[in-house]
Amino acid sequence: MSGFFTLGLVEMADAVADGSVSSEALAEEALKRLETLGPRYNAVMQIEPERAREAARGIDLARARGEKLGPLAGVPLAHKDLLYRVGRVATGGSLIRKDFVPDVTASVLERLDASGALDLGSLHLAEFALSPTGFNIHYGHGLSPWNTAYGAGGSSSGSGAVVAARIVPGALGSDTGGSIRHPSAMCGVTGLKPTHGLVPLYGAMPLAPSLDSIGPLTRTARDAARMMTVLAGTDPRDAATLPAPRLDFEGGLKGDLKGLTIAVPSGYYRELATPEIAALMDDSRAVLKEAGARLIETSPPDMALVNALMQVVMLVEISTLHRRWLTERPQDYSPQVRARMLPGLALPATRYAEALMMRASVTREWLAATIGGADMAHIPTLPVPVPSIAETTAGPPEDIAAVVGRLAAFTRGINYLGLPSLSVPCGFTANGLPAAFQLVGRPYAEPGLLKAGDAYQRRTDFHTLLPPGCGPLA
Amino acid sequence: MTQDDIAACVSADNGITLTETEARAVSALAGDLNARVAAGADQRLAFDAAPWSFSTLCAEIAAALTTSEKTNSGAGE
Repeated sequence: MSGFFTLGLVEMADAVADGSVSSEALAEEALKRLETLGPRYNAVMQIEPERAREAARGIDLARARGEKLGPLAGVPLAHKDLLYRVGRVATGGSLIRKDFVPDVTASVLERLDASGALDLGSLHLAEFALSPTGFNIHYGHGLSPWNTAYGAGGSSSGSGAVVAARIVPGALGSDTGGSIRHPSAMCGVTGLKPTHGLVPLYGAMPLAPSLDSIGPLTRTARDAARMMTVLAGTDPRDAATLPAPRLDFEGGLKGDLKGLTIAVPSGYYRELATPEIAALMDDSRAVLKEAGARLIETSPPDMALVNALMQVVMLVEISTLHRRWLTERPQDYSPQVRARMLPGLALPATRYAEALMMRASVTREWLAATIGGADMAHIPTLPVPVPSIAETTAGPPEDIAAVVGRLAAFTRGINYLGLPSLSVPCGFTANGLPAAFQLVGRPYAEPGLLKAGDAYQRRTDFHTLLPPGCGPLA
Repeated sequence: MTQDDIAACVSADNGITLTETEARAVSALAGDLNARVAAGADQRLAFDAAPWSFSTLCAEIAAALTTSEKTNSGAGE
């Protein structure tokens, strides 16, 4: 049997639970697609078929014995190659760690294992998770399933590509300045960057720990909610998670947004968006309104300051973590990544401390101005249509930096603010590539964001569309 | 600081030698960020303002959510 690839993550879990499909069958089809389609999009770092098959057999046996199954039992997944698993190489997309074998397993992988999910292997990412396009000089560019002349987005490139190509229904990514939301938007899938500290970072390669978040990339908001049910919560090995409350991610997914208010910020978030993106945003807001949401206009504060604060924190933390390798192994970094890391070495400690000390007050200020009395804000994920690989790699370095920098204009500030953000596909631009909006909320507003994303997806079909050549395998 | 000063500091403090192109780019970006954040701090950072940590903000919001959940579930029972 085959054709299960069209099922979403929750549908697969339900099908395994009611016995209409075996976990082994799901694993075999996903492995075949990973081996066939994965290389086409340069999405795969390492496949572990035997681990997946053994876990699948265990799930099928448990069901046959009448044991209670976990919420993701038998569902095949694969994850960004910066999440550690004991004994499996975790390259972090780098040459420096091409043979690194961790002796710990990431908390998020442990939680997925305990839920019954299958781990098929590790996925492509930008070098040290530091590119919004999927650029990686050592392992090649991550490619979009919609058109391989375009990048899959980064840094969680493989995670976006495998979900878009219906290889697996879900994958983990990490997000320091947009690295879950960029590939989600560029590949036409749903991506959730959780509140900083809601999902534990233990066992994940750090980029800038004050900003890093781990979260799911899935076809739908409903599928992301199921993954968050498994992933979220306190972990004594990550102190940032200690305040995390218990949240019900799936209970509110009813399709009705009556009583919900969505802020539509003007200024920065409108002025930087191209007319084509702005029109798609208008269309998506009309759908949310039709679902019952009330829309109000707001005005964001000085985003130049928020973006500068984010960059100071990111650059200082990155250059601190990489200083020894930058000294001892400079030749093992691509020139582009080295160039992005170096400015952190020239920033004074007082600027870094100021950026951290202002974080709570600037976050309060942003929330008051941008969300105000609403429940969440609606902004574009990317201000521009997805650029081609040529546009982000060829030409004068200043031009490339401008194109690449613009991609993160609406995402990186959210990491400094530590807020949750759900990226939802909402159509296509003239180049045939997907576009997306973000719903940004207060800390721990994930259930509301998922509720709104789910209501939108019940009324639209962008998340159901299949990239060319991603149908059944011959 | 001039571009040469910055390159000298990076070399002295971190043992990393910047090329001229790198020094120019580092100087431009670090200088811009330095000025923006310093100006922001001058306006916003208060000596006695507390809590200033993001974790504390999250803990406050989490506590409020938990309290509201208890209140709501109590009202429904």
